[in-house]
Amino acid sequence: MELLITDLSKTYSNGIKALNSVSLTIPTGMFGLLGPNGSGKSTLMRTIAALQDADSGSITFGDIDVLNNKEEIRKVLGYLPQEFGLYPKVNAEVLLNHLAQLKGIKNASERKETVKMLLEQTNLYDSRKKYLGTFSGGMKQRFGIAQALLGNPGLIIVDEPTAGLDPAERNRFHNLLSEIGENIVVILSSHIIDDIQSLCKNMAIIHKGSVLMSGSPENVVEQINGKIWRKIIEKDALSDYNEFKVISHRLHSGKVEIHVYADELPGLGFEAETASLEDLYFLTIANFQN
Amino acid sequence: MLKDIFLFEIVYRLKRPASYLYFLILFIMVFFAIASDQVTIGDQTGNMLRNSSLVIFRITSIMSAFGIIIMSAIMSPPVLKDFEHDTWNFLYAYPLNKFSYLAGRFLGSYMYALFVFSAIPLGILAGSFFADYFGWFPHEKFAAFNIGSYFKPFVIVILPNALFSGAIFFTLSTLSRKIIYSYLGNVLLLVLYVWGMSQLSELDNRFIAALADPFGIIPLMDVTRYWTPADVNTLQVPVNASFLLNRLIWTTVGLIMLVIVYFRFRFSVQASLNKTTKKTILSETTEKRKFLKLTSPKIEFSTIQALKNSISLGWLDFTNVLKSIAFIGIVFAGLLLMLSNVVNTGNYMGTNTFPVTYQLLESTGGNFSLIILIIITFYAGELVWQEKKLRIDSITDPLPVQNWVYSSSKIFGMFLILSFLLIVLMIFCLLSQVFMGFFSFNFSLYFTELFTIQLPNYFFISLLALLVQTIIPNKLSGHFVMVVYYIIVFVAMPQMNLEHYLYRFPQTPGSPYSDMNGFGHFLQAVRWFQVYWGFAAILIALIINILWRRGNEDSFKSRFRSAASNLSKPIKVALAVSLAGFVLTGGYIFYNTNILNKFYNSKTLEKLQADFEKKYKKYEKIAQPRIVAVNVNVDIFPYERNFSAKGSYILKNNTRKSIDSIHISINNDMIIRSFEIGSTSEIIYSDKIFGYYILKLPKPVIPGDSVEFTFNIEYISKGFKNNRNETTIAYNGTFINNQQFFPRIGYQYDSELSDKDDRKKYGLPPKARMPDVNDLEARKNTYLGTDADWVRFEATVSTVSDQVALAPGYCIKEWTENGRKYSHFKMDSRILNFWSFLSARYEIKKDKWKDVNLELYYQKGHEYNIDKMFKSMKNSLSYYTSNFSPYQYKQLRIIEFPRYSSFAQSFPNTIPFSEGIGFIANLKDPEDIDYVYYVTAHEIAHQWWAHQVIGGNVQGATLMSESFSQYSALMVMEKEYGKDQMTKFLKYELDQYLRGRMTEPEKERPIMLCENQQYIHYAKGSLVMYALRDYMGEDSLNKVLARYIRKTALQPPPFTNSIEFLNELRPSLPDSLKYLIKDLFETITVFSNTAKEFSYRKLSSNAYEVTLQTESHKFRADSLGFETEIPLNDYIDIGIFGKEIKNGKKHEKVLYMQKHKISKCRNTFKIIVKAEPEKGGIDPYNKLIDRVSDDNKKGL
Repeated sequence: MELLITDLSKTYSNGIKALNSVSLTIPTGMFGLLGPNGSGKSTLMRTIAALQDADSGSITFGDIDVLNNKEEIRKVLGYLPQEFGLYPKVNAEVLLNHLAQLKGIKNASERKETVKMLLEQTNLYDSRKKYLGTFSGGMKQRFGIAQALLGNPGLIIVDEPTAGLDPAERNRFHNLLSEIGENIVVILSSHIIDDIQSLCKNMAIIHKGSVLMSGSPENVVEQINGKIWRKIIEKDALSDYNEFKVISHRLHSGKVEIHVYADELPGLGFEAETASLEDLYFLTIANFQN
Repeated sequence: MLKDIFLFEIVYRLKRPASYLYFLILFIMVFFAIASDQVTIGDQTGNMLRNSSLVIFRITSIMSAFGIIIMSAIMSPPVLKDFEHDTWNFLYAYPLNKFSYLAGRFLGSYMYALFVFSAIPLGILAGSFFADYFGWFPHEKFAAFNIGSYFKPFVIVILPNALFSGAIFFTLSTLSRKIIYSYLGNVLLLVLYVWGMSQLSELDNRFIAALADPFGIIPLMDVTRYWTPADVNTLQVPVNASFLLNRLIWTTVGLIMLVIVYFRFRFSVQASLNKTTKKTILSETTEKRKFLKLTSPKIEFSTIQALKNSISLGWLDFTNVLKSIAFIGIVFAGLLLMLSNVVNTGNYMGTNTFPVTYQLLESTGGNFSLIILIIITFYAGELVWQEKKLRIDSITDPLPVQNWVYSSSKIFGMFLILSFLLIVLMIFCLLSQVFMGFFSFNFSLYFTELFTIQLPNYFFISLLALLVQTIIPNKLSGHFVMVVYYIIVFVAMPQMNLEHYLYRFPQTPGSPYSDMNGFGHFLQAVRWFQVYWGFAAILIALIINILWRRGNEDSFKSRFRSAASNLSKPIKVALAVSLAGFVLTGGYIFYNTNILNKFYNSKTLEKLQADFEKKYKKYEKIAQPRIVAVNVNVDIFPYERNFSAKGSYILKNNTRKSIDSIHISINNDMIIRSFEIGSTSEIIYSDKIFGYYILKLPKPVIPGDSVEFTFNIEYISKGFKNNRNETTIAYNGTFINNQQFFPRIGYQYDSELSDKDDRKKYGLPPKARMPDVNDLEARKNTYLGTDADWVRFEATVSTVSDQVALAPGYCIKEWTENGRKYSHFKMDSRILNFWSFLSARYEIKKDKWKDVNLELYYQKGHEYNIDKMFKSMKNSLSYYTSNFSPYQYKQLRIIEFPRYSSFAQSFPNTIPFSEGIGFIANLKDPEDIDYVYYVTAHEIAHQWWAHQVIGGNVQGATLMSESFSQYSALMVMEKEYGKDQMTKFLKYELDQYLRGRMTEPEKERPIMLCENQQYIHYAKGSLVMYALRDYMGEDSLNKVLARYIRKTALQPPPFTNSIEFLNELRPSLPDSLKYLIKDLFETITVFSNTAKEFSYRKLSSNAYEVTLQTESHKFRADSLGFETEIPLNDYIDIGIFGKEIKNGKKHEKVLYMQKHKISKCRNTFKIIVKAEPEKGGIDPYNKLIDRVSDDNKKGL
């Protein structure tokens, strides 16, 4: 089963072009979406989740025409939105059970078992009788994950899922996702480039509504390997490097470390650096801006 | 900082489009209230200027009360918006000063609210200017501009109302951080106001009512209660003590609220209203490693499953609403309000009715429906928006749940809420009945009324509310749209004569309940309209489903697109079917209301009246013979609601001319089978629209000769009507009279337009309400009609076998034929041409007074007061025969008829008596006024005062019928219940008279020239006659009346007038009292008597010297109420009162009561009494007409 996005475009009523002829083929497995704030990631994900319409283009998942058959896609969808709320005066178990009902798990004992399993998986089982209004941010997020996994979805969309989770929880969630993600399509958006690199079989970089690059992380990084050079410079010397293609700079023990893209050694003091997904990301964004 | 916050707040508010919308709505409403007749806010009668000080004041206070809805929308967000938009997160971390923050936000919004409410004076000003300038009303209808008329209500009403209501809403929403608490505040204020209004019917509660009203409407009504049209047009509204106190109380309430919000508010995450709920954020539990093992449950999406989901979602919504404190608060407030209705059930003159089911449902229903509408409006918004508000929509929207499951779950939730409310209402009424010791519960009525009439109605409205919330992208605007809808459908459309229910969703014709007739024929129309609106409701539900908001799209374009894609085939089919059903039932209703029956709105009716007059007035004076004998056969078919009548009138030519054609007027609903005089007469003119016919005689009737006019007419009920459903022909309880349905000879002036402005509008010349008292021509007719004086009467009535049919007269024969019951009635003496037919399933009780047969025909179950009625019948007959003249009949009957009208009417020896005015009165408390006894006595008195002596059709005619009947009944009542009860009774009469003056559309007349004005001939009649009796003595007054009867009873034309009565009275008054004729009868005389100082000293153990200082003024008022002071030379009661203990209760004891001649304003009386005095007073029993009646007595 793969998700096929063809020529998807969307312009908001205030004139912002959120998606600009986006085409992507998303196969089974984890798929990472990378992009700065406002790049169109969430719009794309919401459109796949049938929460929003596109102006043109198509999305198909297997033989489901997503844009025109919202009900069918909803039946196989697990969705964790970036922002969501919960009924404050209901406890976790009751709400999850209720949502399971809505997801079509008809048999009561199966439902109970599923709910129990998911609460355990997300480490909420001990708090299952507590009102959701008393949950911390991390617990709420885990509840969100649990509900997204209800009813064996064939397509899971998670929007910034690890925001608010502590490192241990994050790891657990990653494990969970990658296990699930072996047989189904999982779309993950994140700002954390390392997450994408370590988790995803495939990925795409989106900026200003356009797909700038897509492929497997190893392959795409391979393209720029050997062309990234690193140098440590004084803080106020940054402007001296305008002639170089500086793709990123960051503070490093009071000085500045710059990464420069060049086919050959750009000059004195530069040393070769192993290319990372982060370098590729900044390079792609920078290229687009030029 | 305060200044910055304040300015930011104002600018922020002024940028919102809603600001101008609020302003515009207020402006437009008041503009048209002044500048048109289509919008009415408060009373506006013929004599009032369109923009007098009182009118401005009244409009301002009513609009300001209406404006609290706007106030809560304005005053809730100032702090709440920081929570709704999450700005508090950083804002509250700023070094904000609490006072500046709260005061800045509050004052900014308050100033802005004042800007919005300035629309009221500005709208009135603009309305006055435009209407005057463009001549929409004549120039003299406008008062000269007076800044005070605008400024005063703004300061007295708007400023404090906005302050306290704003403070309440601000405080509630700020502390609770939920807007619903503001709505709760709204409801509570409304409850207080409605409670205050309900207290007004008890005269003693006026002060407390004036204080309780938060908006200042009741104090305004109170301070101008007895204004005359002249006062209305010339005076500035004064602000008296209770008015000021009211304003002070409510301003204080506002300030207290502000103090509370200042001390309770904290810059913190938690709401500060509910202290008890401690929020503990759970800590993370330690990690437990688990291996992933996803279960594989079976997934199924069946329709049954979806239906179950919808129901369980609806149930979830319903239980969530039940848990909300605001909901409980609103319902509780509603119940409180109803409690005050229940304790005053059916109140008339301070006496309640038994809490029978329909009475309870009626007295609670109105107010509770307000509560239900508030809940519908608010919770429709909550239900539609709650997922968005909690932001759980981003989880639930992508779930594999069809739109219809979500939308139908909201509809189902709303249905549960409404059912719950009606069950609460029912339990409340049942409990009230139990507590009042009344156990005849009518469960089937509860069910029919609440769950088959009210529930569908509310449910349809709630669907509309859900639709509005689904369409409109903002909850508050949705509420406002609903309020506008309520105003349009319930207020504006009827005012604009848009009266057909077909376009007033979801209204149906009324369905009044009567013990006699149940819901009768009214239910048929209701059911058809319910089917009609039911189809509309299905359409609405489908549209809600199609437009259901899902996902993040909110632009109209994309919502339209998703709506189009939601149009699946089954939905299209359902849409088509329900649309077809809607159109078809609508067509069927239209066929019934407009084709089978005639549909006229008030405007068309007015026009028809005007046209009738224009067309036929020319025939008014032509010579016509008079009816001298009536013989009719009436067949009543109550279950088909038909009747047919065949009969004849003997018409005698009393004129000096030969008459060659007869003019006949008749109700245009009647089917004419034949009109004949002899066999060769010919109908040469017939106008079915106006019911006007001209019959050509084969040969003219010469003066003194008679002819027999025979008629064959039918009334056939067809289908149902939109409104004005005939109530006189009912399944059980038919009551038809001759004036309404039977042929009348000649042009009938009583269907002419009477309102002077209406007449002008249709180009009709001004018309005197009644001819001059001396008009001899007019005195040739009684005021009952122009086609007869005294007639011989005979009638045969038939009805179905399980009913009894009645007509005036003695039953001389009864028989059964073809399964129908026939009775033949005959009068042995001549009667007024005023007769009626009744038919119902009656219980009959008989008794005798001397040789007069007393009969009571009543509905089974209405036995409560029939003994009182018999007693009143006997005592009345005995008093009237011994004081006035013999009773002219051998029979007296009281016959119950359904409560569609609340009156009793005296026909010759037969008195139809509405079930609504006494049959269920609760007279267990001996302190209460026994109005059953009084109404009975009054109607029996009409057997003398109308059926023996009747005035000509000139001014003052009703003095001899109504006022004398009032007097007669008062005497009978006083014998039975004593003077104390009379004082109580007369207090209501005084109140009614003084209030009646304000709304007089033309001219107030002295009672001898009374033009059928009820507040004069009933209310003032009682006062005048009681005072006259007090001055001259009962015996001498009764002798005058008896003499007057002897001279005028059953007289031929011309009929008597009030002048003849006064001429009879004058010689019997001693010279010292002759002035009374002028004061009581010939003029409008008003007193102002005040007890100023009261003191006493003890002379010995049984002698106390009282010093009483009084002040008196006497005025003559003209027809508009302009007063001129005139010198005093009057005998007025001076009374001193002590106390005594009777049956453990404190009673007032009269120590001294004497008339003193008062000839100067200020007087001091020194009086020695035998027991310790408590109070003293001048005219303490209010026998004279006094506009301030409660300062006549004074204690220490």
